[in-house]
Amino acid sequence: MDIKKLKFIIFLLLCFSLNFLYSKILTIYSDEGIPQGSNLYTWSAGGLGQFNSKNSDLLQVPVGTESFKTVSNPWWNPGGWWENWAGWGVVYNNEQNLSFYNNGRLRFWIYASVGNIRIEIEAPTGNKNQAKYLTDLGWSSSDINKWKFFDVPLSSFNIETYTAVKCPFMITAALGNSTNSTTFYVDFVRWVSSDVSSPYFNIKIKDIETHIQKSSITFNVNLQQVSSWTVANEYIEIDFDPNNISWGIQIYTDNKAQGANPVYTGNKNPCGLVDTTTTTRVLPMGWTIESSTRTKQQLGKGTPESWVYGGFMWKWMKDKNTQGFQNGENYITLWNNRGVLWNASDRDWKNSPNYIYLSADFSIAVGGRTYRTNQLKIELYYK
Amino acid sequence: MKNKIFSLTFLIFLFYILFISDLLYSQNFQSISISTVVAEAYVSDDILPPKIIHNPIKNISPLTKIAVIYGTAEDEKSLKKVEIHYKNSTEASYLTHTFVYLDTKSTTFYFEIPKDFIKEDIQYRILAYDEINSTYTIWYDVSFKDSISNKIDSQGGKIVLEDGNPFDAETFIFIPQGALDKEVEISIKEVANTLVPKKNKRPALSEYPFKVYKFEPSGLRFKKPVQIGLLYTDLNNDGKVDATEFDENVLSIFWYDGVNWRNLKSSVDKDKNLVLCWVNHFTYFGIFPLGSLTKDDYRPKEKIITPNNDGVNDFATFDNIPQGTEIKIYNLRGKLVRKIDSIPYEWDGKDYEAKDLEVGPYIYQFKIDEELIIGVIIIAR
Repeated sequence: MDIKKLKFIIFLLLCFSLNFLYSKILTIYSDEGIPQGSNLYTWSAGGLGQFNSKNSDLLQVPVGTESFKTVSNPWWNPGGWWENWAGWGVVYNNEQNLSFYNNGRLRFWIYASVGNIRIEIEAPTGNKNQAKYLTDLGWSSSDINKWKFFDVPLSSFNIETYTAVKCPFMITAALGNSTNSTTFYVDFVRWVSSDVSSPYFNIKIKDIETHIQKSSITFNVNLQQVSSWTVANEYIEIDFDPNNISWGIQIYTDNKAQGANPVYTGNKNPCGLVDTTTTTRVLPMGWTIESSTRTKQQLGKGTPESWVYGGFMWKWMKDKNTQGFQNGENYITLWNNRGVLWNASDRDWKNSPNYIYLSADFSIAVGGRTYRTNQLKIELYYK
Repeated sequence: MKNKIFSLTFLIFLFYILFISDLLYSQNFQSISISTVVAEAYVSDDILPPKIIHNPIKNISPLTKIAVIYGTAEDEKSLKKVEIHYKNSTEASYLTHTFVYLDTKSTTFYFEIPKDFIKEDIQYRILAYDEINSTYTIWYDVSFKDSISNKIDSQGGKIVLEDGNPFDAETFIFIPQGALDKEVEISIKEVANTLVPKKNKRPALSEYPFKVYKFEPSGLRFKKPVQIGLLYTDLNNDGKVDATEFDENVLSIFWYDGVNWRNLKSSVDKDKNLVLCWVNHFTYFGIFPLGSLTKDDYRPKEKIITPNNDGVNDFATFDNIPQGTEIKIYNLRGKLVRKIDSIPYEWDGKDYEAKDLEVGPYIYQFKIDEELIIGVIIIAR
């Protein structure tokens, strides 16, 4: 074989294997913690810094309910001067080949009162090359004590390639000889590949059993076997990376919309699967969202208000024309900045991707008919 | 006045609550990205799963390698697909042959497993799908062998050597009650026709038999005739033996006497591709096309018999004799010593009372198509 062709094939295989091995979003720090095989390191002047990686004293954080709180305190150096610096970083036990993200971005949120906070990446061990200060990245006095989103090209750290990453994120408040204590918060640090836009929102439909990608949601319904609620054969995988603190994702049908096929023509709640023969009739639908894929056995029948085994609750699906429908409200918001919104008092953050499962009630279904909506909407919004 | 001011303030407040706040709320909402998904359910009223009616094949002949899977699939609503999975018994992976149907309630399926696939025992199963249900059979075991054996005693019985073709019958032997006086292990083995001696030119029309079966134990003699049925192939059902130009009407069973292939009066069941005859001993039996017969073809080949039960020349066998023919044996003095009027048309050198006759020449006489055939057989000891 031509050596060039061979090299090309090897290159393709390498690309494929990298795509297979790496997710598009590599979360470095979130409510879920840090990557497996890594540790949190902290440093501060005189060891006086205060750190809390699971801080929850802020009312609102961009993602989830916790953030990383750092307090940098002044320290009198025995040499005769004040020092004030504190920081932390995520450090892999072994250097990681993250070249998949070579042309990607470093994204994070920060809430700070000063701009002289330094961001660094160490790759390989001992090489930090080019540090970035918040002020270099566009932080200004108008951002004092506000959450601010940063989206930094990994190339700007002047590291040739990320084939041996020791520390994917280090942050340090470098306050010189200031004698004032300074607090800053960091949230949801991640590396994203070059094709992950900002904001990023992507869905895939996959078979519940095989996880093979499909083009639509289907149900296997035989009137003899199904008398009420049943779970769809496919689930929806959502992958997202918002850049606004007030983000959320909602789900609903819009069966009266232009382009709906069929259009619901009745005068009741149009939510669900519309009878293609008698378009005044619909079958109600339910949904739930999970942080990991589930089996049909775990999901149960999908009856709203019932529980997924080891997971969340099934909720009623609404339609945009359901009376009292409001964008971003409970029951239609399946995910927001705090986590899964299945119960206002009990939210849980799980990193993307997440998995939406659907169900429908076939108790009033008529044999030999097709029930359908082509207007099942999953929407990323800011509010 | 105060009341009016209060009422006005309240109305403004109410207006704000009802309209302005909602307006502000909706103004704050910003849709960033919407994905639209299609969800669809076909609700089937097809309640019953399909039915599969199939008579499983049990054996494949290594010589013909015919394995035809045939059956019927039915559904009360609409049959969509039939699949046949087949594999070597020792392997887990299988091949699939699929039949797709549109709006069919009942259909027959016919699939011949490729001959080059068949190398050992195989397994197969059948699956039928309607629009929502499916049915499948167990994995059927099919052996790949050229013989079968079984024990038969004085009660008699039947042994069948199956092939993999459900459209014809099977090679068999039927042993009536009393044909054996003790238990015997009987076997039927299909033999390649190139491994047996060629046929002398007449009355067979082909050099080799189309099919040969060896029945064992070799030389076994029965107390009364037993029926054998030998299978030939006519898969395309054109009335001719496959790969030949010979009409199946001319087929006949021949037996091998150690030197020659000799014809037995046979009948052909064309529906079942079977040639049948009655025999009273075991040897090789083959199927030949039979040409026209002359007088000599009816005469026994044994001119001299030595009836001492040594298995050699103990009998004189009259070939091709139609049922109902009467063969008379006379001594030289013209006395009728024996009459043979049913199969087997053999003379063992004995008289009516089963006593050994004296050595010397004897005259036989019988009629075929009103033509008298006369000859001499010598008893020697």
